[in-house]
Amino acid sequence: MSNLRKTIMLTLTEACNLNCVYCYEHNKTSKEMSKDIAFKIIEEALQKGDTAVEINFHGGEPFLKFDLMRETAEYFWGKYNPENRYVFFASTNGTLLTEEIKKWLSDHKKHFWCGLSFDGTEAMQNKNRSNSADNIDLNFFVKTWPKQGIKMTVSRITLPDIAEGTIFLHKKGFQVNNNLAYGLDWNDDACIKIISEQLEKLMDFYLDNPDITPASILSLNVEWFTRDDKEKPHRFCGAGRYMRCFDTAGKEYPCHFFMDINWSGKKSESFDADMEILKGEDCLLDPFCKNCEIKLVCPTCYGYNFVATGDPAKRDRNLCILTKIQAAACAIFALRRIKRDGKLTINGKDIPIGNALQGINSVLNNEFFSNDERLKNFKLMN
Amino acid sequence: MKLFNLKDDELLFLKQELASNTTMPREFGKSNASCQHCESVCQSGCGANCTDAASSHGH
Repeated sequence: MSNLRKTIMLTLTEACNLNCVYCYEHNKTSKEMSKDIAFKIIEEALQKGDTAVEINFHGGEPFLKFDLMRETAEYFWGKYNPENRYVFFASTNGTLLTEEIKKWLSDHKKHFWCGLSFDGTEAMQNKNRSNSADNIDLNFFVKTWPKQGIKMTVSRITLPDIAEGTIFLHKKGFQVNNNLAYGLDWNDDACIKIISEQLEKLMDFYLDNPDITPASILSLNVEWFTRDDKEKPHRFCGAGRYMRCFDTAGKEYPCHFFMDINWSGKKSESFDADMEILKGEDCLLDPFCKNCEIKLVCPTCYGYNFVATGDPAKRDRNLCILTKIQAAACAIFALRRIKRDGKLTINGKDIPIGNALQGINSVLNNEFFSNDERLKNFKLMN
Repeated sequence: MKLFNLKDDELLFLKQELASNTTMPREFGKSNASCQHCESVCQSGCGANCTDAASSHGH
């Protein structure tokens, strides 16, 4: 194992004050984590001596349990110096931050970070996330943690506004991490046409504004696109290896997707064995993806795969098409930047031009689409 | 139906540059990561915001 940060995620509550249209937590309850369980999990993690630990408070909405977060953080800061060792982090919808809470967060912003979910413009946010825009202080988040990106989830109803929403958040000062929601059916021609038009608009914006870091949806690393089916894919996500998640009762899972809050019905007999597999080195490649040009960087989610298909490796096919379109957009965007600048930087890393061009070339051909039955009516070049 | 406005001169540029640029050994892993617990460029949208927190906590 390399010296990557270890994340432990604590589900402080299964309850949430919003009801977002794409929420994958279908079995929310009022269960909460006790102080004893939270302290025990964190104590064990910090006693292991790892030098980079992220203690991630999750939910539901973790700010429903702000008192517990505050008590926990202050206890451990008093016991173990957090400097260069550990950090607290809360994923939040941002609607429950009172002036008192903001003051506490501002006072402790170096060792307690928040990641905000906000889905684009205020209208987009209201459509996706329970009319909550007016209850969220965007300026507080960007001012307190300016390096922290904002999480923008795209639903079918906000798909036609991806570019506008992303640009809105950039103009507020955020880096944008946007993704297509899981569990939705994206497989129709209208979606395909709309997302390609939106990504084209977004490309134009970034080409006109080179100082703005492109959103994640246009940041797939083209260096890793390849038609060579011999290259072994990397493990995409660190769930089970670098990340461990705990439900309100303190039971451990590789990530929060495997918890009961996301499940309906009975778990498969292989559940425990699958959890062990996630702790190992297997790259978990779906055989279906073996010859896919983007298999090395496709943002597959083992947790959601498991929820959707019963197998952590088996990709939810619903996202394949749009991910391929995303990859084509990333390739075109990279090509345009190389043509204009003579260089290419993705996620802060300079990409060797020859490698980037090889990757771009592996995707920018009509075969990339025609290999997929659902994309056969579309092409990238005349 | 054609998606994206990929132009002929862009394709010509790609072809010319491919011929004149050599590849280098690729390195996968931390140097490629935007996220410090995921080894790649995670965009899974799981809600944990882990990618957002990458490289910004001073670790």
